[in-house]
Amino acid sequence: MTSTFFGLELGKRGLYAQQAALYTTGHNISNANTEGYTRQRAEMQATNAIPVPGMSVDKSPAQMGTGVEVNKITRLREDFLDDQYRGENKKLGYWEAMGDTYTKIEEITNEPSENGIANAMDQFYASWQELAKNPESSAARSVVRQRGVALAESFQFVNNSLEDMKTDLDNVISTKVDDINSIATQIKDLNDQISRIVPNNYEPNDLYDKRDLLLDKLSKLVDINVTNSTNGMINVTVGSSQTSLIQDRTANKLSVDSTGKVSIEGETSETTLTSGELLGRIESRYNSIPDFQNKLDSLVSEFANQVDALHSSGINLADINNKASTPANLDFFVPSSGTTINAGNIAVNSSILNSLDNIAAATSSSQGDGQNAQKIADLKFDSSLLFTDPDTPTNIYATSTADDFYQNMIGQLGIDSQQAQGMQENSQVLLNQVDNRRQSVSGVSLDEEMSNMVRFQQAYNASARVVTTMDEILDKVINGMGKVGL
Amino acid sequence: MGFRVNQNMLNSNMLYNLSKSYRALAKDQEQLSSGRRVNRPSDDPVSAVRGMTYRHSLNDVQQFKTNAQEGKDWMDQTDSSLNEMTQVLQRVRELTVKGSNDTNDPESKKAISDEIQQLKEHLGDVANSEIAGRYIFAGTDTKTAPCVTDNTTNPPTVNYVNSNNQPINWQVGKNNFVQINTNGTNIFDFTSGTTPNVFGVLDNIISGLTTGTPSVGDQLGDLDKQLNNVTQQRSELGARMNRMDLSISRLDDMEVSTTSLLSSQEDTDIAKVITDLQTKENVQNAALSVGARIIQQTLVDFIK
Repeated sequence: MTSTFFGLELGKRGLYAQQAALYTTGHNISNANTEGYTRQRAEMQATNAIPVPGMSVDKSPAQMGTGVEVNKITRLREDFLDDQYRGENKKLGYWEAMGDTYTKIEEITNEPSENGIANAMDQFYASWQELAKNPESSAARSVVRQRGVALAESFQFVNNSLEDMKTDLDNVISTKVDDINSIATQIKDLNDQISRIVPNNYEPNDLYDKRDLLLDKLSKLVDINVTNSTNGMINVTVGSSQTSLIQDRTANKLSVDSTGKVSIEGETSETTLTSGELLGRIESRYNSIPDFQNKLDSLVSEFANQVDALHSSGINLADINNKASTPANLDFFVPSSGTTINAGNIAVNSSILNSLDNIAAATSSSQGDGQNAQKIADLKFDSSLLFTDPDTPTNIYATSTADDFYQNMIGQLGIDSQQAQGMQENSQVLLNQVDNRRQSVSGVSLDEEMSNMVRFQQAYNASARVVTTMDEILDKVINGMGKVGL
Repeated sequence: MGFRVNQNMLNSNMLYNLSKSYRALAKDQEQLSSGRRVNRPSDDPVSAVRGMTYRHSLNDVQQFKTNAQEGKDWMDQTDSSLNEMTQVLQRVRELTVKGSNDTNDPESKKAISDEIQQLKEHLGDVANSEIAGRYIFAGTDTKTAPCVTDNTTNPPTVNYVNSNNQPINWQVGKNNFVQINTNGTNIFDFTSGTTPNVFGVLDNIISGLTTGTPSVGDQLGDLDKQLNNVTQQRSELGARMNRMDLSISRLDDMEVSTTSLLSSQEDTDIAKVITDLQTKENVQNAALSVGARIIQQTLVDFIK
């Protein structure tokens, strides 16, 4: 049996429910441009029915509806799309970092052009050719010296720029680690807040959104694995780590040591990353750039040693003038520091810088003899130069001319860079697709919200009309009954 | 429900596509303004490496060409010196034939011997021919005069003192060296049997004319041997000059073909890029105008 005022209650429920839906719509519209916001929906359901008694039976012949209520406000989101998004995001982060590195190396080496190492080497050889033709000419000697200095500077410039890149990457890596730890702390705090709300049977939708947004950002930096924990909290592990980066209300610090090893606080073994921007930066810093430098060192050391071997066995003008019978045994290139020549320390011998007469152009004691200069110029075509890894000399890179070796370095760099840029582009496209699908599910559509608003407004108005009608009925019952004929 | 599309998606899609099309336009612009298709190795690694190879070859070819042309100058100088020498020796021969005639009185013999003496000193100058400050008949001792004229004696004596007979080889191809000098000792110090070198022959003639011994007429044979030798050296030089000419024309061809190969690897195909650019501009404009229309309107504009 319903109470007298049941109709008013029913109308009121309608008003409240439609109002809640309108508020949710308003919330959606307000957050239409909020990053990471997920549209919400007020889920309405009919309230429990009550039995209506019959005229002749006391058991209920029917169930009568009692109106509506909003039982929860849900977030429209698909976890699967989040997984996909994060899966692509880490790849994008990785390839962006790699592409960035390779593009910078390409800019530093500046090939193919008239200003790179390849051209400096050509000019160096050409200067020896000229000297071979004009061994008596101090102008030709001066050109050889200048080209030697220019070549040494070209090598040093590339090497120094690569060193700068490494220093820069050290800063980037440390900034990224700070980012990761800061995000972890924020997620841990959100976990804490969420865990206080969920047991009370509330849906902390907006906190979830904030947390998901942080996870999106984290997923670009490192490869993460997210698992659900109790009370709406989540746990996050990174790479191969067994220890969580975020475990409920605690966050463990991630750190990168000076050799590029990643570890999580509380875990002794190294964490292996498979993707993400941090891995890209670490690989750039500890693999790509050092590899390129090793090859450059190998090129410089073999090239300089060959030039030196020929130069020190040649006879220079000072020898000829002094009628010395044995060569002065001077190296053309020397290390400016240390004992072995590499791209960082290659320099022209100071004796040669001091006196052009110390350039050994001859093989015999004769001023017009340019045969030694010719031999050095011929190094250009010597395909028996042996390039080995400076770290492990048993590892032979190649046996070829210096030009070929350098060209291969540049070719390989081009291929690596092209691949990184292509993968970056692909990941970006895939990420956009996933993001579109996610937006399709979760994004706020103003059109939809507007039509919903009209819908809810009309329902609200109608509910108000129900209340009015009930009021009129009650008015009739209370004030109009028993006044027949009056 | 189908695929929901909302304003933000339209926005972000449009932005992504616009920036992508801007990137494509920037690439074309870079190609057009730099004139190069490959500006960094990753633009096209294969072309970049080929381009580097061709650039090396081009540098080589240009250097070889310079070598060949300068070598040719050296040889031209040698040839004109030898030509002068031939003329000198022929004049000496005429004078010798004239001087060997017993009808000459001592005064005319003296005049002839004086002229031959002058020609001998001139021959010394020829032996000391230089190119850019370098003696061309001195082997590799290019800074030491190969011929010394002693003015303290009367008549002055001229002696070819150089003994350096080193060849000077210049590179005109990867494995192609050409000797650009002519051995001075083979010309000015050429002896054969009893025939002394050219200065000795002239000394003998002068001595014959002034003192009567040795017989002037007997020297004609020696003089002819010297003349033949010069002719032979010149023909050998001529052969090398021909070879140099061939090298130069081959290097010219190579320069042209290598330049065009380099260009085909690295240079922008302007017509193609401009056509592409036009297409991309159209797409860009269309995208912009469609974007401007779509993103400005929502249901809000129609519900009053």
